[in-house]
Amino acid sequence: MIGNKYNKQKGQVLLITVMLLATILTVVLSLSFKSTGETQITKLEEESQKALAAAEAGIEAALKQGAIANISSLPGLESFTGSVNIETTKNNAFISPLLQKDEQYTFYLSQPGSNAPEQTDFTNLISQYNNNALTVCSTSNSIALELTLIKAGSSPSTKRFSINPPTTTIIQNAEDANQLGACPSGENFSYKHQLSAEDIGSNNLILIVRIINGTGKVGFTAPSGINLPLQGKSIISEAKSKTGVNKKVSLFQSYPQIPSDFFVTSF
Amino acid sequence: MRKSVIFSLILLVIFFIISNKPIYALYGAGPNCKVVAVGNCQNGIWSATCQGCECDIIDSSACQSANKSSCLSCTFSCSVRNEPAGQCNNPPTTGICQPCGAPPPPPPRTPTSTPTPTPTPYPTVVIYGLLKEYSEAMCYNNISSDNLSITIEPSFPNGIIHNCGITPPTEKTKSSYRCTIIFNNQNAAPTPIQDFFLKASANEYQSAYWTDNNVCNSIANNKISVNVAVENPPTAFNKDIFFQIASWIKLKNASFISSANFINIIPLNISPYDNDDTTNRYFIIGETGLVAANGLNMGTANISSKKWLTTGYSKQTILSTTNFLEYVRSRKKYQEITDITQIKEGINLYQGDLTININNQVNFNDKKTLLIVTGTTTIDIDNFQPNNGSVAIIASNINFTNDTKSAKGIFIGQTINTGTTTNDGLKIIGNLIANAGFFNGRKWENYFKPSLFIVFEPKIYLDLLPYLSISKYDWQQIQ
Repeated sequence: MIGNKYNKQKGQVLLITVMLLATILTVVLSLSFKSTGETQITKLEEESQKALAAAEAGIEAALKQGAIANISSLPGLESFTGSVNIETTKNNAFISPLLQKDEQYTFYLSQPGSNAPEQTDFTNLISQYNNNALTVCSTSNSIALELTLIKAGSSPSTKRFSINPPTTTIIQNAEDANQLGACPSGENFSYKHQLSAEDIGSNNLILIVRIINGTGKVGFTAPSGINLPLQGKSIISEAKSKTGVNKKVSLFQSYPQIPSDFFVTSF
Repeated sequence: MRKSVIFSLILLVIFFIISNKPIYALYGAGPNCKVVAVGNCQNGIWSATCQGCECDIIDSSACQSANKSSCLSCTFSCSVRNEPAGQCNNPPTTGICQPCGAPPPPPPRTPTSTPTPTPTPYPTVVIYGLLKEYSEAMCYNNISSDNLSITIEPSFPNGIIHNCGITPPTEKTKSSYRCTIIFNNQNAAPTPIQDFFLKASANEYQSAYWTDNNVCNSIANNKISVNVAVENPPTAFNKDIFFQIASWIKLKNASFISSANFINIIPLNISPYDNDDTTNRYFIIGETGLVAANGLNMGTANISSKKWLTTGYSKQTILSTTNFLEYVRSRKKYQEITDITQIKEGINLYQGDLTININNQVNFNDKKTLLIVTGTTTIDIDNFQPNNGSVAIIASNINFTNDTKSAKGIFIGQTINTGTTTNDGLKIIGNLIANAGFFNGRKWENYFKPSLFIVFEPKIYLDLLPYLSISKYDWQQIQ
């Protein structure tokens, strides 16, 4: 009788032991799995950061030396693949960055040197946009614009325009925006003004647009079927790590901009 | 005897009634004199003004003109009509008329002693003359003003009636003036011997004054002495008024911006600075741009032919010279120099003060150069013009010595001093930008020419495009 009771108690200890072992095993395995997962995420982020840095390094290199066929050719980026390209596609429209009051944007109606984007001899501009209308748009109704067109010649000359937003008189005796032409897509423009082909004329080098009284962006549009000259370098850099993480960045570097603080007579 | 006197008087009254003449008595006049002026009686005083061609004028030269509405005062003449022989002997032809109904003066008594002379009623003095612009021994007729004021102030105002008129009365260009001073000795006791003082002013001019004998100089004498107590006193004084102008600045092919109240009075009569200038009376000539300033005073001249203007404007500095230097150090290629002979094409940075003179100007020849100077740059050369070169100078301070007459370049400084001269202007071909302080002490012998003439030159900006510029960046992560 006493032996039977003892045998039954021996079976319970085994069950409890097995259950305990199972529990401990579950906990240990889940902890181990979590640690592995976090390690993988950390590694992924690290790869991502490296790929982004590689892509940005490609941008910096392209700014100095031009397009790069294989990003792995750059020092320290041997483990990456990818390329850095410089966009040379011309467009029918262009939007400036955000401009503050009294700031100006130098819009190119010419190309430096020999028309190739890699040529950066800005002391030798070649007129490209001539005898075509040009629409200038503003994203703000509180901005008036002063436009200074600089033309080539043995003695370069200027031609100036002043534009008020419709129904305002920010600049006395200036022209009201004529609301002709089209504005670039991608921004919400408040008003537009078209300079006629006669206004634009020939031998154009740069058009300087100065912001009077407000903050906003300026858009430029050529007539349909006509492209504007390039306004700077558009660089797209793509870098892919060995683990397959892919990053792509773009940078637009404008052609030289003359600061308004150095351009408008002031005292 | 008494009956004959009464009978004579009755005859006299009947005669006047029959001849149907209004009774305007004139001191010393005969009974048949008639005033032909048009006016009215008020408070016992007759006043008349020129009304078209109704006023018979004697001595106002302005009233002799076709436009008699510009007359401001006149004296009167009497026409003697139907004068019976012996009754209007030597009637005066000028004077002030008495109000209607005034009794005729009593017949003169047989003098038993020397009669006391009767003072002329309402003696009137006229002061008149041209309005002239003056600068350093040169004078030109006519001034230009929106707010000219001319008065004559008596030393003893009692009984003095005075007023002044300007010709033309409403247009900005004024040519002459005329002041009338009446001694009202009928209703008051004006001092017959006294001084009168000119008070004249116009916002567009520094000062306004008379001179002795209308000599064109700066020696003011704003007093005139009048004595109406003597027999046949002088009644007309010719005194031109001279308005002094100050030095001024002119631009060409430029825009202009200032956060200050910019005062730059342009005289009516101007001379061109040189062959690049014109006689157009503008602040900016040529291909003009916008003028933006907090306040602006050009006198009555227009800022430009286009009149593009915005006032109440405060300039915002986007890129200071200090910030640009930091930008150059981080983003552009430049070379640091310790001597001006080291200047090369491109951006050159010089620490300290630098003087450009005739000996070292040659270092700028045949180069497109941006020179950044951390201290003061002094231009000490008669004509700073690099041969076949373009230069821009950015400095904390830029000083032009008095010997510098012209300079070709873009000059950008926190403060700029053009120098102080008595007979030398300064011409800048390029541009001039003073961010914080500006002093222009330039003068010519006369101020009819601008003392500072700035001609905007775009070629220098094109030549220095890679250097005097920044880039704008737009970065995006696409993937």
